[in-house]
Amino acid sequence: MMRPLQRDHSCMKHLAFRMDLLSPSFADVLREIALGLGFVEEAPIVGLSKLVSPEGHEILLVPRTGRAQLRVFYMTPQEERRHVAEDVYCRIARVFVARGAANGG
Amino acid sequence: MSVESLRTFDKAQSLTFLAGIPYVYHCHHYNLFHDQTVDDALGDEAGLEVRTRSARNAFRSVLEAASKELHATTPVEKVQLARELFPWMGLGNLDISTSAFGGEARGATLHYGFSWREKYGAQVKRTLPADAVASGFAAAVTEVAYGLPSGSAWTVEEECVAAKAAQCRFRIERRPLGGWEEPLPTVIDTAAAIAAAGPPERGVDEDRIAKIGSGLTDFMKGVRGDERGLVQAFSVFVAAQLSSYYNESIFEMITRLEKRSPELAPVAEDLAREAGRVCVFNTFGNVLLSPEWEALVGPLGNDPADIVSFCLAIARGLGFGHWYLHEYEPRKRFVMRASSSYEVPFYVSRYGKADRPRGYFLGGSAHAIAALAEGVRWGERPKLDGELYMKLLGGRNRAHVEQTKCQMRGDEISELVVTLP
Amino acid sequence: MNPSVDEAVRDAPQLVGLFVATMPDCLLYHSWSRSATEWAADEVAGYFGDLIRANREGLRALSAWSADMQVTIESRDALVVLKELTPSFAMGCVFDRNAPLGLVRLHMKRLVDRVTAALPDVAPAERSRGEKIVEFLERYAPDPHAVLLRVSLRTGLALDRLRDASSLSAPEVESVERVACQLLGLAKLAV
Repeated sequence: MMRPLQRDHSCMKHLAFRMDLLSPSFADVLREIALGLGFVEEAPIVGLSKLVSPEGHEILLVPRTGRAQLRVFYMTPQEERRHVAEDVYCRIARVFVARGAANGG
Repeated sequence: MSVESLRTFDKAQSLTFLAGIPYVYHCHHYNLFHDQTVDDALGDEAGLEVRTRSARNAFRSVLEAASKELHATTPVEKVQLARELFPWMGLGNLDISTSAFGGEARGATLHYGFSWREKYGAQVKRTLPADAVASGFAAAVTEVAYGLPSGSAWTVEEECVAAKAAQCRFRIERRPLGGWEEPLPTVIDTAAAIAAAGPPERGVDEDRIAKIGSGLTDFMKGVRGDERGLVQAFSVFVAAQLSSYYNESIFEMITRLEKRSPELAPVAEDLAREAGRVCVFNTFGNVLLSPEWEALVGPLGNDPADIVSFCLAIARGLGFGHWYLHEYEPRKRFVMRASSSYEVPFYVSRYGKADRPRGYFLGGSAHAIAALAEGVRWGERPKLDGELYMKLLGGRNRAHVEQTKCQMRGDEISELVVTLP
Repeated sequence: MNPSVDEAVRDAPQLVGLFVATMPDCLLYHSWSRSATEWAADEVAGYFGDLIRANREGLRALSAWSADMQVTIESRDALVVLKELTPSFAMGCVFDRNAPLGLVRLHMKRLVDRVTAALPDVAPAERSRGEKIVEFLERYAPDPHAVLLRVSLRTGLALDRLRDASSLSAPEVESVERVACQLLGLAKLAV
């Protein structure tokens, strides 16, 4: 449901990662999973969902295109950012997979 | 009434104001490069002095105007307002404690020190402080809160996050007036900025540029510092910064150098243009590749004409002025015009009519816009790194850029002609 | 580099990346990575070259240097092995962190032999101290695209003089060196 985690463009080192959806139709599912994991939806602009984790990590989701960017909280030390991103990605992916299995997928 | 209510916007000229004082959005790449350029030209000590004074003068004008507008009359009200304003601008949380006789300030996440450490900290060691802007701000707060004359407060940054301190620490002190070799502070307000602007003509692809620019402006209306006083938007760390800070520091630097070492002035001018290139490459580039952009405008394709229009819209959204496309012939020529640009009012007001074109930021930006449009395949998710920068904007294969019209020289508008290699 | 090196690379599935740098300049000569990475190959090669040089000097100071020494670094994500191939070239290989050390040594031996055989026979050109400092700055200073302009302003030397660093006079070299230390945050410059 999600593409593999990849480094994305960012003004700061190792701060942004791509975790695009295989199809834009999974956007609502990602949003629900993130909310279920304690993320909070903050002041989304039209066409963009911004989900913020309790630790300050953000997922910016463009439902129309399926683009999803994970922005690690900027106070995270540079050398730990990738591991933190992988951790967030895996937490989401696990729920995605479990849901898929439960739905017979 | 809140800080939020101080913000106004001149739609026709794409200029933004805080309590009637012009401000723009810049990211940390530009901010750090700008400051570095001033220090390179004047030396670390004089550079720090010019930057601190420029910040103090700029913030003094906005704090005076904001206090008036929000009816902050007592020192404590004015200090409170200042403590709210600085983080709101994305310049970081600054804990100021000051009196008519001096004081201190502290901050662990100031835009300049924090972002310097983030960008360069792993690469080079720094011993000098990086937060002249916060220093100048703290001095301005002291002057305005206690009704002190301009130039009577000064701040020294004694410890800085960029030099590996846990937090930045400032000492605010009183200084005797006089003895400074400086002109009176130049205050630019809304009326002066609009008066310096030319007719906001419609350029090529104007409807689309105006629509996107307006969408960005609306987006920026919601942008403010987070709990640490920093702003992360469009994948970049931005700060709202007073135009006068940039203008006073860069033009003071160049005019001083012209007097002291005229043979080096062209090098300093080129670095001032380089700051524009750094801004467009990093800020505009990251904005284009951000999910926010994808949501507002859509995924990027590879048409250079799109990128030119998008960049002009970004410039307007950041409050740089009414930049418009006069002519574009792919692979040959790009002509950009501006009826307003944030460098102009300050220069004209402080120095009078220029004897030659001096749109440094505008010129560097025009060059970089052409390079980003022509040299990057945006649909293929390019990596905006040093290698690409060198390829597009490094010494070899550089486009020829000429400023053919300059509002600082008395022309009605400014015009940059970029001839592609 | 050549079919024989390609074959050695293919046969080492735990190999993630390979860098060959010229010595003593530490400039990138060749790089390879198994998949798309965010590495800046020239930077990596520069740092690897510096590590090898520092290691060599350290071992010499301990009178423990030998020509066949290699440096192994075990980080959380990778296993890095650095090796001086000839007086003019050094190689750094990045392996998957989970690769067994014995196997890594085996692959290294094969890679060293094949890469060495593929290298041209060159002698390092003698360059002036001015040139070395400018090259060092262009590699390590922040904002390398602007470094010459910055040095020009801080030294007062014209850009053309800096572009032709071999012709700088002794006081000019001293001035450039002082500025290089300022820009790099170093007490002294070891070039």
